[in-house]
Amino acid sequence: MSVWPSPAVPRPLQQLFDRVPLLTYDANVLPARSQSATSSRLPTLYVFSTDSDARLGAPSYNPGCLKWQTFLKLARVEFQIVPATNHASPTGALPFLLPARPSPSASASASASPAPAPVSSARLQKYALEHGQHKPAEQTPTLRLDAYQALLDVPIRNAWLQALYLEPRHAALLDRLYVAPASSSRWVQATLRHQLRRAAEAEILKTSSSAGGSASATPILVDESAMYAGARDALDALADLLAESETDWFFGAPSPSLFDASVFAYTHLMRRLLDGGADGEGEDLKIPARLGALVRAAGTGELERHQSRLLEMLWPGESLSGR
Amino acid sequence: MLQLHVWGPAFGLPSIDAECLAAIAYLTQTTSRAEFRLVQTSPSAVPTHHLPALHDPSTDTWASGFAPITSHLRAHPPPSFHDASPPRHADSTAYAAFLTAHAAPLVALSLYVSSANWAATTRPAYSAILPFPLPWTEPPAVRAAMGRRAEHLGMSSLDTDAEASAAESGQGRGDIAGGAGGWVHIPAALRRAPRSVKDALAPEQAARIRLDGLAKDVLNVLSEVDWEAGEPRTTAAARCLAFAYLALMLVPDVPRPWLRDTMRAAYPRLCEFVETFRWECFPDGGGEVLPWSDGKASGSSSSSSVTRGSGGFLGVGARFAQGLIFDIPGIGEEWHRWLARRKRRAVRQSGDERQIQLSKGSDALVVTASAGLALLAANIGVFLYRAGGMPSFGAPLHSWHMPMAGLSGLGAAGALFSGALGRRY
Amino acid sequence: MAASLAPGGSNAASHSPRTPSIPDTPAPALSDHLLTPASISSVEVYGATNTRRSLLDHLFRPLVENPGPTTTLGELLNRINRASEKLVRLDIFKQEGYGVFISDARDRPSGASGLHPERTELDVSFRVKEKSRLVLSAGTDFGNAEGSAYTNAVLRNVFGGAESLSVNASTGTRTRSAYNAVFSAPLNGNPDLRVGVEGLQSSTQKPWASHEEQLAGGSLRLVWLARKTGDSHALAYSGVWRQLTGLATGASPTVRADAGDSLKSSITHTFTRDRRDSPTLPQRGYLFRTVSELAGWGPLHGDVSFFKSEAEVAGASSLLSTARFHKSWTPITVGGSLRLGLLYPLAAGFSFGGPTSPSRINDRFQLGGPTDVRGFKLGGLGPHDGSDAVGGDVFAAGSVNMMFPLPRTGPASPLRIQLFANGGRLVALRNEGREKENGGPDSNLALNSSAVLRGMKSAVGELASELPSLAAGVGLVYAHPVARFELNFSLPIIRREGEQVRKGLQVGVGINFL
Repeated sequence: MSVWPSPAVPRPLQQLFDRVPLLTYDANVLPARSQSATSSRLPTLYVFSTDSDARLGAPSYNPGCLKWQTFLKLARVEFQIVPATNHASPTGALPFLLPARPSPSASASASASPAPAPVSSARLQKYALEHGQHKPAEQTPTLRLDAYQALLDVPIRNAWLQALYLEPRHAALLDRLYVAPASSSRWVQATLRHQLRRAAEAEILKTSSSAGGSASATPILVDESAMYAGARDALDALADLLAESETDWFFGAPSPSLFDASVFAYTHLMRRLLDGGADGEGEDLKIPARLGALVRAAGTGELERHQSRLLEMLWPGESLSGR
Repeated sequence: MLQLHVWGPAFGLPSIDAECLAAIAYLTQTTSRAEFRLVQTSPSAVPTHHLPALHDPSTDTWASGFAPITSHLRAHPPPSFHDASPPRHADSTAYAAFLTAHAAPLVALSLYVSSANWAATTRPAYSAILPFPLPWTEPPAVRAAMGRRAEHLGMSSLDTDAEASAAESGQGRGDIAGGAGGWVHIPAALRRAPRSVKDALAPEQAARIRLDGLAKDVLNVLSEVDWEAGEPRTTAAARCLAFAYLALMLVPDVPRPWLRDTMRAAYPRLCEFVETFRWECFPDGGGEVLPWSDGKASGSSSSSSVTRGSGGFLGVGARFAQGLIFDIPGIGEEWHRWLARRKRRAVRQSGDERQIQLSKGSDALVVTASAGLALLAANIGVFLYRAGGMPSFGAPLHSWHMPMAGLSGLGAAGALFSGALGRRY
Repeated sequence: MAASLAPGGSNAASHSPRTPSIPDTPAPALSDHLLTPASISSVEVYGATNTRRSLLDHLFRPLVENPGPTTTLGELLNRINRASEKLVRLDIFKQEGYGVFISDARDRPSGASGLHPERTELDVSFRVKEKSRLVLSAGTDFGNAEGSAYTNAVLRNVFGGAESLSVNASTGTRTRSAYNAVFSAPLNGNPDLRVGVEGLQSSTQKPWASHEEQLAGGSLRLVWLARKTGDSHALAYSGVWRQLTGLATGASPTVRADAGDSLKSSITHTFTRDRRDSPTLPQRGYLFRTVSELAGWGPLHGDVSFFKSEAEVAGASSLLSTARFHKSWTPITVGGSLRLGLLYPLAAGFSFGGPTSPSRINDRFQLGGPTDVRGFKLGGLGPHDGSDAVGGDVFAAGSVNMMFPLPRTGPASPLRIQLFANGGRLVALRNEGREKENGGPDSNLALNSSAVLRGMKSAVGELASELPSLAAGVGLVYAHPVARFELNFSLPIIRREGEQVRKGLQVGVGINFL
């Protein structure tokens, strides 16, 4: 819209430019909504959460976000969490972290410095190790870990997506967590719900072995029972792996590592959100989507104890039946 | 007799699809050949809409997908069933998940996304195993699905039509030539501008390096495992699955054999495993000696009617129509979702007779519905052609008169314009 | 009789259908006739092949049906005249080929006369040619600080009732894509009262606040044009789903906090009185406009709730009357304008005192830019978080300018040299009470009504407490019929920390300049 050729400003003109403006006042005060967004000097982790949960720093209800929230806490990084949506993220996915503004002194001019570049989840591990006061246990870089990570990435994630997004019995929960916070309008909500479901379905079909993703001509349908069976096997395998470890944590680490955080992110949320209550017994797959029951039944309860241990360690006092 | 419905043979292997291959291998390893039959088909012909699919007449159930099939066989073993490996081991579960998560995209990249390999090897293979006219609808859908599967690897540039010409001119040795003409969805960020022939060499090699890197990330993990039989940590099922994916990496003779080259160069043990296992399962190397059923001649009474859908002209026509409907933007997917759900529900709940009727019924439904759609489209076309424009609502002359007697002889436009009496202004 | 009608009835109508008027002061011979009782015996409309009778009924039935015993010829001619004007303003007939013909019914051979021998009875006939019903066009467009290319399809007289359907698709320098469809129809056959339904979808980049806004929604609007005064009122209900997305890497926390979805459901009233002689280069006259919007309150629902009001006054006048000089002299004009705006957050629902959430970035005002407060970057005024203009809830902006003719150009030349000074102040509503509580994350944004009132008072007070941010300069103005172009050299005089000034040259393209 406006052009000024940057090279070669004549000297007298430059002198004139240097002289103006004749008067400079203090900066304008930011609007009410941004006062809280800019007031803190802590790094901010943007996650799926509710206002009240975010104030308390309670666990996020999204596994991807909870994983990194847990890991940052394990590394004892000081940070605050802010509820957000995927639209806020530079990569289109939460979580991401916005480091603190560099200007330390006057709070009034804090808004004058440019916003720091966000740290996406792919670089959060490095960030946590650099800024944390405690180094979480290094994962022994075994190739076996890659294989077990695949359990979380494929069968467990797919079962989570299926149970929360596609299972009709959890429709109210999905609305409460992801749809209602976005807008109060029924029209917007219905559109978002549809988009979420289609996206979840596409994600499942992309990776799932038992749902037609591999080579079916028209991968359209998700086979739920096979998916829950896959999740049960995967959770059992994780429980066995944990039983194999001499310490309380995966792969014999002296303290929890990133892998522990990854497992916890799912087991905690499955128990908190997708467990039909304490009445459940064992691995009753007849009741669909009771992933919490699968967690409790895995192995001889290793995953359940692991989850409680980590919860007690990072969020003492937080109970499963919080909400 | 058990019926295993699978994609047909290709590349000298009994099936073109990894999970089908794994399921065939598992059955040959654990069950006597007299107790099962293989049915060559495609997903649109089975009620579960997914291959491999196992129909067990003794329980009258369908199991679809490799893991459900193996667990079904364990739960309802045929008389000769014998699987000596441990029923479950954590490592095996993990490696099976790893194969699905990481080996499958690699195979997709090599056989489906890469234009040269697709055109020269994979598409002809599909044409050979599908009855006419299904090769027009089903392979493109498979390729699109595979493209989505490998999307996260960011190598969609392998899918390019420019590549063939580059290869002819002796420049395109590798798998990449810049181009945006791919028809698998390419994220804008990954698209590269076309570049001159001279510039094309360097990124080609860069892609080669990246491809090698991707392959090694996967194969390193797999090569750590002892896949030999008798190893207590690997189950027979996991071994079959590993064989299936590795075989599809190693065996097909493709024009851009980067995956095979990498395997041969750096992972001799995996190659050895594939070869040994292949000859062990299929004594002729391919699937010729396997108990294939040739569709119509299948003996088993209860299931033959189900498979008939894949045989007759009506059945193929319905599957073709289904593929066409699926391509209609907007409604195609929803229609298909509804149809597949219906079929699957029928399979799950019902006894034999009703199920057959239903599956027959939905075939007829497909034909009827597609014919109806075509007719409707033709009608609309004819209507638009005939009408030629918008309807009109008016009249050449509107007139109003004073509501009084004696003034009725009006509408005499002629009198007005003749100029005889009323003067024209 | 017939001859005496000629000047009014025929000439004016057939030559320019836009102003078919009866002479104000009829000749003395005519005035006698005009007072004689008269009635219309028939009205005929030729050529309206696609126009429904029900639409024309509104115009012509009253002419024939309510003669009244004492109607004079003069009144009747006025009525015919008004009907003719309305017919023209329906905008479905071509100018060429339009004609109104009036003849004396008593001259007819059928001899309808004799019933009221003392009355003049008229036959009126209208001849019209309908405009083409489908118009396709494509071109380029200049909005405020944005250029775009569009394709447009207009279906005129869709159902024969002067309804129009316009479908528009455009893409521009800042608007990535915009689609909208408007269906509008006259109410009761009155061309000055139209009701319209609109659906729109668009995606617009807003680099001054590092984001992209996607809109999808619809509106229902009623537009009333007071023909005599040139005033217009528009009342609209709109529901728009806004999605703030596609954030830049360097987006500030303020923008990130507002990213996501929101539905605005609002009623807007717009009043415009434009008495300027030209919208792009006014020499005299004034413009007054107010826009008031009520969103989310009461039955409106939606995610945002506020009252927003904006007023604009602009005027121009020639400094030296042309009469004193030679006709070819171009006068020097002085102009000025003032804009004021206020956004008052309301509690959702029917309550007045409930928790009120402060405004979002896409509702707040932006100020600054080449068509606005010159000498500042786009959105350069007001609160900034980092480099993002986050907008404000209260603003005042004004400008004064003098336009000089270019040497050796006539008054018709579209070129002028301008001297200008403009300035403004954009202030955000802040949460006074909470400012002192420092530290921890405070996500509970809601204010109570007294805090809003207090904040609003202090924000309005702040407008006047200090000098506004100010810039002055000189430039060249070119008034093209489509848009006005300005090339200005400006220098900032007063600014605030964080406000983004533009020293030197600045190009502005737009229609509505400050």
